[in-house]
Amino acid sequence: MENNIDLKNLSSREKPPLFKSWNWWYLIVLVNLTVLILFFYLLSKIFN
Amino acid sequence: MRTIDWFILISSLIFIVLYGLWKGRGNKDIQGYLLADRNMRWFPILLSIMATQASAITFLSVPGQAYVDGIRFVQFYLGLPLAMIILSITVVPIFHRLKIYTAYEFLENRFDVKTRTLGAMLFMTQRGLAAGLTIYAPSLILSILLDWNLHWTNFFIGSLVIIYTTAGGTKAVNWTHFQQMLIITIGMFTAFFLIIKLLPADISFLQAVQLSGKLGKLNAIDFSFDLTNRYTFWSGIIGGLFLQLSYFGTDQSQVQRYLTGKSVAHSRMALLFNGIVKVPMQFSILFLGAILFIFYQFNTPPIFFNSVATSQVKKSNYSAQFSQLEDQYRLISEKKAEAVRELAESFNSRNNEQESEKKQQVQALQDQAQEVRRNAIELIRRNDPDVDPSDTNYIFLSYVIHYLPAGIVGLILAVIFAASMSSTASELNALASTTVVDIYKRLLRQKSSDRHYLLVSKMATLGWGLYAILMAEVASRLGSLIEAVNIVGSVFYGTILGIFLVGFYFKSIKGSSTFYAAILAELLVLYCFYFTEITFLWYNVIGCLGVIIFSFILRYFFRNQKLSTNIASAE
Repeated sequence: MENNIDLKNLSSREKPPLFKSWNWWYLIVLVNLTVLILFFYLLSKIFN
Repeated sequence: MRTIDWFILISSLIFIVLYGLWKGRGNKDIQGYLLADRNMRWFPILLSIMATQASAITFLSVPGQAYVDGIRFVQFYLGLPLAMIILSITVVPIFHRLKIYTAYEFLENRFDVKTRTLGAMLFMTQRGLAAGLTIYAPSLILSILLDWNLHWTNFFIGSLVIIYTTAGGTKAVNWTHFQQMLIITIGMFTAFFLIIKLLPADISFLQAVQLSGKLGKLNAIDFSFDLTNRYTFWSGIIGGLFLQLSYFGTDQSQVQRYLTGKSVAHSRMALLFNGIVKVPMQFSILFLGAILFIFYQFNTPPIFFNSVATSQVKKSNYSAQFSQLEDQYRLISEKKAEAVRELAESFNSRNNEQESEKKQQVQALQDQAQEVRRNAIELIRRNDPDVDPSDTNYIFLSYVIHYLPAGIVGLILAVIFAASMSSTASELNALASTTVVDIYKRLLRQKSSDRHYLLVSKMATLGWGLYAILMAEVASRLGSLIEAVNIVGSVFYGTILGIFLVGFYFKSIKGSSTFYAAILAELLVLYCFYFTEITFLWYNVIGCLGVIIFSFILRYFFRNQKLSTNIASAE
């Protein structure tokens, strides 16, 4: 027996804290990752 | 261990257990027991997610890894923030809306009961073995360095976890994670602060960082694309992404943490904050190891950090030879300390030539020291071939025991116990949930009272706890199988993720195509494991993409088969 799930109806419309859209939180995570990679690169480059 | 250390260690552990029992009281049904009534806020969930992932080995082994190999291991975690975003967008709302108890329930909703059972069984096999090792690995190190009885240490850690996990369920697990992360954070910051404080007075923190870099320990990023190099930027960001997607999206020990969220928003926030803080946390632990390396440039380290192995060889026929090597090592280390000090002074003079000359001098002495150390390890192995030639896991704790003041040793040991207990608690909790929800309630006894399922859940937690202690006991006899068990995890993760991704994104693909695609993809991963040099992080990518591609191909085969069956039955 196989069932199908309607993914469209499963998406959440809950609002995030602080911002109007979750996209801002996703952006913060991405920016944080980029800054960390840049920091690691500079750490390797400058001190090695 | 002094009295104050014992006091801090024991009082921390008693506090964790009592706090767990208090917070976990009043469970009336399995929703309360297994999912904390789906009422947790994002911050305790975040700490619970972090405490589950950080086992005792993280704190024992990772600083030692940076000491030996530099901080390049940090690249392993670069895919994690991306995985947190993807899971927040897709998996979290789906799991919440379906109101599931375990990740494998989704597989029945989407495919069929056989795929659900397969997922649950794979998880239980893999995690059941891992739970034993989560207890055994720190017990082994503690028993060697502190001369504790291994069996009692296994039993002690296992029993403490069983008490509050069985009595209080997920609420107890999540709330004790809160306390455990607090102890871990305080302990690791104290250790870091003291390493810097114990550096020679004429070496500043900046000079220590510069020395660490010049001696090759700050190798955080490597952009080369090499499938045989375990830790590069690309293996971390691509392979790591698939591994973390699989771990956080399909492994019940993590899924259960965010299923306790009171809403999608709370579960999402916990995952996203994990994406923000996990990489800096891992970097801090590695950085501690890199500075520890500099500390040992000025304080002669033991020739081999596993003290039981060295004391055994000192009692053997190789004693005289070994002592000679130790003397040589000490002399070279003293010379090296002088050379390192001169290298540090050359940073101030800004004379590149002088700096390069001093660096070569240090490197030459480092090579000599390594050569003597290699000979010493060879002697140790000649005396006892079963001794592990790697002493990475003992480096940090050896430093703690020999150099940190009274009280702090107890605190760091509390960190190790807390970390071991936090991972084990999540594993037992998840194993019990899967056993009860996916096997017992689904296949054996579908209609019974809440009270009955609650009792069975408690018994399952107790049973898995005893099994974990038993596995920890036999782990010492498994030898190289321990490594094999760890690799088995990596070998299966990609395939499991592939099954879930097909379920989430490719609506037209049905159960049978996915089931057989998973088997083919697994065979491909096993081929890569046995016959190629490809490192383990890439297995996650190969397994996952394998399931997706094969299921697309098999879809046509099963569609044709279905058509011909229909035609045959029409005729």
